[in-house]
Amino acid sequence: MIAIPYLTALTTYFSYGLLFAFGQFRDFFRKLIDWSKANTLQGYAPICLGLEDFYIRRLYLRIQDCFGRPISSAPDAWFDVVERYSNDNNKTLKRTTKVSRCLNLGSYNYLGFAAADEYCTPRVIETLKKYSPSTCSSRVDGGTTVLHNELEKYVASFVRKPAAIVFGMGYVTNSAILPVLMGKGCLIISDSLNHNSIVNGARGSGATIRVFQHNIPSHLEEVLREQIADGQPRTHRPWKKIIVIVEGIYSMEGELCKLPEIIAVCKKYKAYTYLDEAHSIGAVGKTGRGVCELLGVDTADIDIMMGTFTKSFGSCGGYIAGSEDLIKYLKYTCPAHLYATSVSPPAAQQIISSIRVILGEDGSNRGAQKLAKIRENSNFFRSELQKMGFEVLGDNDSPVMPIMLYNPAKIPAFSRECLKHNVAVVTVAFPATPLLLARARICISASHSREDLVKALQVISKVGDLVGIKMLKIVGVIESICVWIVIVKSCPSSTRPRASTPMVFEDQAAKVVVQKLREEGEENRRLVISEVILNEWINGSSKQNPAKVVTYQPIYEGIKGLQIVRVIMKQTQKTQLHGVKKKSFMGSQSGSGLVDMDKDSRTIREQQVSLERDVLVSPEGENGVGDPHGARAGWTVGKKGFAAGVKEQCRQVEALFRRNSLCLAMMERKLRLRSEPTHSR
Amino acid sequence: MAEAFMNFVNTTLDWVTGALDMPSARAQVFGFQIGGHLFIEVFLLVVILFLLSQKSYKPPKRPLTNKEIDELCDEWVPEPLIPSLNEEPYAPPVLESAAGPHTVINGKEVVNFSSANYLGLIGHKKLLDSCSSALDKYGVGSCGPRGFYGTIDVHLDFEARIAKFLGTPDSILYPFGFSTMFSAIPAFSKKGDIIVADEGVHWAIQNGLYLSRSTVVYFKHNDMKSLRETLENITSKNKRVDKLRRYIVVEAVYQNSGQIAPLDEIIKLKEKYKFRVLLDESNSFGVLGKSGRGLTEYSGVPIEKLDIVTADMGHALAAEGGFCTGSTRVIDHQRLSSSGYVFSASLPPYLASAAITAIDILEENPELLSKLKNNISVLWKELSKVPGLKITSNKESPIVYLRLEKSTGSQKDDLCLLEKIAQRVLEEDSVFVVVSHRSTLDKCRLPVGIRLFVSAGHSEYDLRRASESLKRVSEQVLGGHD
Ligand SMILES: Cc1ncc(COP(=O)(O)O)c(C=O)c1O
Ligand SMILES: Cc1ncc(COP(=O)(O)O)c(C=O)c1O
Repeated sequence: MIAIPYLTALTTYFSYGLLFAFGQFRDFFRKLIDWSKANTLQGYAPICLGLEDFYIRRLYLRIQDCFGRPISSAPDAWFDVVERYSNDNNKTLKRTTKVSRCLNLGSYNYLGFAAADEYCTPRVIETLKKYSPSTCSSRVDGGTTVLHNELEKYVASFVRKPAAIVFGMGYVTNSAILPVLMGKGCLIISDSLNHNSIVNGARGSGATIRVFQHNIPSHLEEVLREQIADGQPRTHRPWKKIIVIVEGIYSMEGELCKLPEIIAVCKKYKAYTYLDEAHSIGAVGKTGRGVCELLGVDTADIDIMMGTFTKSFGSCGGYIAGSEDLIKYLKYTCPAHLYATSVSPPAAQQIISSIRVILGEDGSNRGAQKLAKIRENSNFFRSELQKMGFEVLGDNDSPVMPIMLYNPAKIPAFSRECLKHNVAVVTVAFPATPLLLARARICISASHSREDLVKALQVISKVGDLVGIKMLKIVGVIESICVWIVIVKSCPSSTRPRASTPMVFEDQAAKVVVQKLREEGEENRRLVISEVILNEWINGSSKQNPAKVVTYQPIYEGIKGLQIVRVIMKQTQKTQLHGVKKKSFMGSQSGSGLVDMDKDSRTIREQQVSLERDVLVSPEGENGVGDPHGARAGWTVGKKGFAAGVKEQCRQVEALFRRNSLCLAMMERKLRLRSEPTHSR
Repeated sequence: MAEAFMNFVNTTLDWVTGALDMPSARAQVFGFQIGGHLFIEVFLLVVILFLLSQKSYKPPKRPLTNKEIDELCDEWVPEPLIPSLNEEPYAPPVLESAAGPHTVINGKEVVNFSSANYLGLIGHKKLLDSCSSALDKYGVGSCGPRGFYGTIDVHLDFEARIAKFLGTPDSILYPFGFSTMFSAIPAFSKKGDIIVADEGVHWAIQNGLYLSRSTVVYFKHNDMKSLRETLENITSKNKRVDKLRRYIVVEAVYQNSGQIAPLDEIIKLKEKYKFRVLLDESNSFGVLGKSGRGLTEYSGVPIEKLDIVTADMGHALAAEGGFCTGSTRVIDHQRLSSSGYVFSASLPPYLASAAITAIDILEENPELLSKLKNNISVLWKELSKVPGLKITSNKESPIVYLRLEKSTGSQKDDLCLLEKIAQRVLEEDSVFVVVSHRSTLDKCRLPVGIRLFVSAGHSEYDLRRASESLKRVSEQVLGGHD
C-alpha cells in the first residue's frame, strides 16, 4: 500500500479536477461547433464513445510526447531517441531525422541481451539463414522445427520443471492458457495488481474471479477461506478448482512477490498456483532462475510457471512450464498452440543462446557477471535514490524501481527534463496505474556501467529538485552510526521469534570477525560473507571458545545468508520510535517482524526512554535476501549493556560500512515510515 | 401456581366483558349501534397493521465460526488441474529446415503444404538480407512495449508502408497476429453493443467477441440470407439500436473452411442496416486482388467502406505480427485502448523490417501473384476429384480445404481418418499436408478437414504430386470405409 501524503493527494485531485473541467469546457464548445455542422455519423453510433475518449483527447494528448518515443537503435544502455515535433499543440507528432543519444533507463533489457552479443548474434543470424524469419504456420501444423523442441527443453531445465511449451507472445501465453485451465465453476484468485494479460485471460476463461490485496498473503488466506466456505455464487456448490495467480516482480511496483508465504497458504487450502515471471526470470536469482531461486522456493511447489522472453532474454515470446501432463494437455488443446504462428526461429535461437550464456554453457562466465552486475547496479541505484529523498517503491534486488510523482503536471515535467539531459525514463500514469499514483519507472540493466548510473543519478537528482519530487525529508539526525556484529551471549528465546537469531559470538570472536571484515571488506565492496566462512574465521581463531553460529532464518532452507548486523546508535531517536504501533521494538521492512515481545518490552521501552540505545539490524544475505518475507532490513532493540562493550569495535568497522551505505538509507526511510502513522503499511 | 393462572384468566375475562358492557359499547354513532364486536374488529385491525409493519421473519444470520470454516476447507477436494488425457496428443512432424515449399522432415525432403507462405517468401534472399541487417542494427527483441521506448523507427515505417499500400489513412502494428483481433474487437465494442459474426470465424476472433462482453449473434457460415435475416431481426426488434454500436465481423478467407466472404453483398447489407464491418484479411492479404491488396480489391469495394481491417503478418508476408488499418480515429483509439498493443512488448524490429521488404517484393514482382493464382486453380481442379473427400473452399482461396464426403458422425473419428490420410501421404509420398485440429475451446462447428496452403513457390510437379498422393491414399483409406 502506498500512502499518499494528505497535501499531495489534495493537489493531485485538484490538478485532475482542473484538467477535467477544462476538458469538459472544451468538449462543450466542440459540441456546439459540431452541432452547427452536418452530422457525419449518418445513423451510426459513434465508434469511440465520449467518455472513453475523453481521457485520451483532453489529458493524454497534452503529454503524449512523453510516451511512445521512437528509437532508431537497439535498446541497449545508450540508445538513439528520434526527435519529434508537433505543429498542432501535441495532437500529432512528426518524426524528424534528428536523434539524440540517451541513457536508457526504460527498456526491460535486464541482462543486456538487447544489443548485439558476441555469442548470441552470430547464432541468430545463422538460424535466420537456415530457418527464415517465420514458419508461417502454427505449432501443431508445420510450425514445429527442431529449434522449437530444443527451446522447450532448454526452458524446462532452466526453470527446473519437467516440461515446457513456448508461444510467440507473452501476452497470448497468459490470455490463452487461462481459458484452457479454468472454466465455469472454477475460481481464479488474482493479485490486485496483476498484469493486463492475466486479467484478460481470467476474463476469457469464464471462471469466477476474486482479487486479493496486492501481495498480502493474509488477505489471500482470508479470501480463500471465505470462498471455500461459501462455494460458488448462488448454487453454493463447492468450487471445482481454485487457482491463485501472482507475479514474480510486479512491473509497476518493483516489488518481489511474497512467494513463500503465498505458497504456504495455497498449499494449506489446496489451491493451485500460477506464477508469472515475466520480469523476474533471468533478472534475479543467483543463476538467473527467477524469484523461486531468489526466495528459496522449490519450483515443485508451483503448478504453473509462466514467463516471457521479451525482457531478460531480449527476444520475444512466452512459456509455460509445468508437469509433463500439463504440457501434454496444453499441446492437445491450447488455442495458441493450435492456431497461432510459432515463435520466429531467430528469436527462438536468441533465447536458447542467451540461456546458454546465463548458465555459462558458452564457455565464459559472462552470464554470472551479468547477473552480479544487474544486482549490484539495481541495489546501488535504489539506495542512492532513496538517500536523495525520492519515494522509491519496490524491493532490493529488483531491477525495477518506480519513483512516485503523484501530480499529473509532474509527469511530463520529469520526463521532458530528463530527456533534455539525455536520460530517457518511463513515466507511467493512468490507466497503467491508479489515477493518483502516477510515477516514473526506472529499469536497470546489467549493461549500465557505474558511470552511466552516476550520471543518471545526477540528472535525476537535479530534475527531482526542479520538479519537487524528493518527498521524503530526513526526520531527526543520526548522530553516530556504528556497526557491529551483534554479540549476544544468549538471546532469550522470547525476543527471537521465528528463529531470526543474530549470530551468537563471544567477544573474542567478534574482534576476529571485525578484523577479517576490514581486510576482506577493503576489496569487496559488498560485505557479504557466508556462514561457512564466518565459522572458519571464528573457529579458526578461538578454538577454546567456539562460537555458535546460527543461521538467520533456518526455517527457510536454501537461504544460507548470514547477516551482517548493523547497529545504529541514535541519540535523538526517541520521538520517532514512539510511533511504533506494537508493543515491541522489533521491526522490519515488511512489518511481519513486529512481533510481541511482551516479556522484554518493558525493559526495552525503559532503555528507549533513557535514550541509551537502539539496535538496528539490517540483514543482507548471501543472495541478497535478508528474509523471504520481502524484508530486506529489520531492526531490533537491544538490551541494556548490550552495546557498551562493543562501541569501540563499532567505530572501527564504521568506516568500512560507510561505503556500503545501502542499508542506511533503508533504515532511515523505514524509521520515517514507522514514525508517521499515515505511512504505516 | 395453577390457581394464580386461573385467577389471572378470570380477571382478564372479567375485564373484557366489562369493557364490552360499558355504556360506550352501546353508543350510537350516526345511527349505527356500535356493538362490542366493533371493538374486537378495531383491535384485530390494529394487530394486522402491526404485523404488516414488522419485517418478514428472517432467521438471524449467524456467520460460520472459524472452526466450521476450517472443517469446510479441510473437506474441500479440488478437481485435478487438468483433466486426464486418454489419448496421446497429436505430435506434429518436426521440420529440420526452413518451412518453405520444400522442407526436410526426418531427413527426407518433403513438399510442404502446411505453411501459409502464400507468396513463397520464406527463404527469399532480399527478405533475409533485410532481416540480418535489422538484426545487426537493432538486436532481436524490442525489450519494451510501444509506449515505453519499444517503438522502433521500422515499426513506424511499416505502419506507414502498409497504410500506403492499402490506401488507408493509418495503420497500427501488433506484436502478434493472434492478438490483433482479440485486442481490436474489445477496444471498440463493449457491453451492450451488438456484434453479428459468422459462425465460422477462428478462435482469436471468438475470443475477442467473448472478451468484448457485447451481445454476439452468429449467422450461418458465409450465408448472406442468414446475415440479412439476423440484421433485420436485430434492427426491427431493438428500439434502442440506433444508440448502440453495431458491427459485422467476418473473415475474408475463412481459415476454417477456405470460403471467401462475398464482400459486396456484405457492404450492401451493412449500409442498409447501418452496421460497421470488421474484416479479418489474414488469409487474403497478399493473395486476393490484382495486386494482392486483399478482399477489398478482389471485390472492387473501396477500403474506406470498411471500418476496421486486420491481418496476420505470419502468412503472405512471411514475417510475424499483425496489423490493423483504418481511419486515423480508429487507429489512434487503439493506441491507448487495445490491450494486446499497449500491454505487450512490441514486434521484434527485424520482423517489421522483413514485412516491409515483403511488401516491396510483392509490389515489384506481380508474377508471384499470378503464379500463386495459377497454382491455386490447378490444385483446386485436381483436388476436386479426390475420392471420398469434398472441397469446401472457394476456387480462389489459397487454403484448399477438403472435408470428408461422408462424415462418420463424430468429429473425433473424422479427425482420425483425416489424420491417417495425412500421415500416409507424408510417409509414402513425402507430401506434408495438415488436418485442421480444433481446440476444445473452439466454438466453430464447421466440419474438420485437410488443409493445403498453396504457395507461389510450389511447382506444377509439386501440385501434381500432392493431388495424386491424396487421391491414391484417400481412396485406400476411405474406400474400405464406405
Ligand atoms: C507480468 C507480465 N506478464 C506478461 C507480459 C506480456 O509479455 P509480452 O510483452 O511478451 O507480451 C508482461 C509484459 O509486459 C508482463 O509484465
Ligand atoms: C532482527 C530481525 N530482522 C528482520 C526480521 C524480519 O522481519 P520480517 O520478516 O517480518 O520482515 C526479523 C524478524 O523476525 C528480525 O528479528
